[in-house]
Amino acid sequence: MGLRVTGRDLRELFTDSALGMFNLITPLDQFKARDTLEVLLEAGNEEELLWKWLRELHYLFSTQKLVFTEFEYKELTGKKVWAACSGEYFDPKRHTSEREVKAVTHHGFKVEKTGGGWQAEIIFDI
Amino acid sequence: MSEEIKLRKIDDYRWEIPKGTFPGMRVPGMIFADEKLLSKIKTDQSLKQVANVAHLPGIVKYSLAMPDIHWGYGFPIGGVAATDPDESGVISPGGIGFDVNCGIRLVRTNLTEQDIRPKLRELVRQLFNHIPCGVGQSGAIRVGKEDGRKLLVQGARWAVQHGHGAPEDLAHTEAGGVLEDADPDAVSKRAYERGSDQLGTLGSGNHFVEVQAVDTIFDEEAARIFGLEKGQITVMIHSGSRGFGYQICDDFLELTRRALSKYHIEVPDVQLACAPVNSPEGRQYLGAMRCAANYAWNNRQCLMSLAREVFEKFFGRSWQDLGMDLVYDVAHNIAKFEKYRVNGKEKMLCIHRKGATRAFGPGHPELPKDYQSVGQPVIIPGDMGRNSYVLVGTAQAAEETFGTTCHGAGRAMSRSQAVREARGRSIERELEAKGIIAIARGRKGLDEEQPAAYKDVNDVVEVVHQAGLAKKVVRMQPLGVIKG
Repeated sequence: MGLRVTGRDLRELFTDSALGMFNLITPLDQFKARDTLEVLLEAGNEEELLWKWLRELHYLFSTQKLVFTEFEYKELTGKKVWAACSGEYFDPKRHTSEREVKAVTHHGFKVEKTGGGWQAEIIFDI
Repeated sequence: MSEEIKLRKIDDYRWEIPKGTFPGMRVPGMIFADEKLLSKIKTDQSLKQVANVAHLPGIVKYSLAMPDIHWGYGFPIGGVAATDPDESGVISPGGIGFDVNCGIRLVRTNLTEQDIRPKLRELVRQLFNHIPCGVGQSGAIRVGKEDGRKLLVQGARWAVQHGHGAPEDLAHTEAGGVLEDADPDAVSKRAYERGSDQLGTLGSGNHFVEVQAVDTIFDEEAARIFGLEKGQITVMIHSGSRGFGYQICDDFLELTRRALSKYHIEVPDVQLACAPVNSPEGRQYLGAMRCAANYAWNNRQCLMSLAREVFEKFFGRSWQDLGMDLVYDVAHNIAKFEKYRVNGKEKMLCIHRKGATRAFGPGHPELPKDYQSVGQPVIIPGDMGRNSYVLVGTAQAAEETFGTTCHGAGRAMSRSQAVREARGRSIERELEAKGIIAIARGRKGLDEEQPAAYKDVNDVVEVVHQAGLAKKVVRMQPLGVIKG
């Protein structure tokens, strides 16, 4: 299952890609920004950085069941992301779900600068 | 639409992609399909993927594709590749898939459709309530660190020793439910974390537990030996290695991507990332992959135990009294070392099966005594609205496909397309009108998994039957299903 995400800047691209991924897993209108966790990652370029970002957030969901809905960036360049990620723990008794995402894949993964900002294409294994 | 690839027709069920079709192909591709299935196969990129797999170092004879082939990450789903470690043959995590040892098991009962039809909805509801399924559901079976390592090495024997099932279940599990030489030290911390609370959980997507009735017998003798008869209720379980296996695949796709340049391996798609079987990276992946395979066999063993508990409570009889014996358990995403004759010499080959099922014929030494005379049961699930099958392996499969046949119906529609097609409809009510009770945890589960999203399993099975890669034994019809 794939997403095409556009953003006016990297912040919008990173936020909307993350929200898009979580929205595949569970409807996000059920969650509040109750708990915050910091994520710091480095990479060689924007494409690698976005891939690492989604992989890290997916790992945090898979192991801690955290669904993030708000992101505050302390630093975001093409080579580094440092963000405070806020969300809520998924509780199968209270929250409805859509589907399990097994992994963020490399297939067709693309981040490009466009006239209006940035665009990413992401395919998830379901 | 797929890039047009010229196929050479061998016969009504065999199509070759000649070796010279793309520069760098080391062997030809071979697709088992009829005209009808081939026209569907041509709508995605899977034929190109068959040709891509033919580039792998050390690949032997053919890059093979079963009739349920469809597009996958790197390797097609429904693909089979044998590599020769003595000829720099490689192991590729993409040739096994994210869900290592995803597989199917079939449990028989001595119940008939008349026994359960009046209370079917309640039975399915109790299965849904008792078996953890869907996003974020934890399993009730918690495993400590030391015990976790034992589980990864011992395979399903661990589950049986901990009260989940009986020793005779192991004889009816492929490889006895364990791959030897699993290496818990090759597994990342993240994989351990992701697998820590998922033992005995079904997952979501195409995983399910289904209550079925046998509706047709094709081979009386084999059916008798497998303990199957017309009208009998069976329970089918489809799941794999859960987050533990997904993480292992993810970790080693990264490692083998780096190995491509180290070993000067050129592949047409980076998702065919691989490493020589006889390299530190190859050995490390094999050690971790075997842990994931063993986790999956424990998982299906625990899921079967949970299903037996539901039936025991529901009917007030023990599972032994209900005749709930395991017919067989097969893996359909796995790599194994098996011996085959290549150019007149017996060779130990690394067989990648991704969405493909082992199908050993009669007399194979790996089969349990009671199945020696007929061959291995091959369990083939269909979609929620049509049929499932039990086939039996053949000696011909050993000659042609490294002892392999199809694994299911194969998707005909993407998940997004299936959701679009389901708009304004209730798949639950459509199934109910056919007498099938379906309960799913995820809101889109039934839409994405609707029968029309899959090819007709009857067509797929007919091809492998006619081509001699497995023979039909019995067919089941679905009565009730739970999904994540």
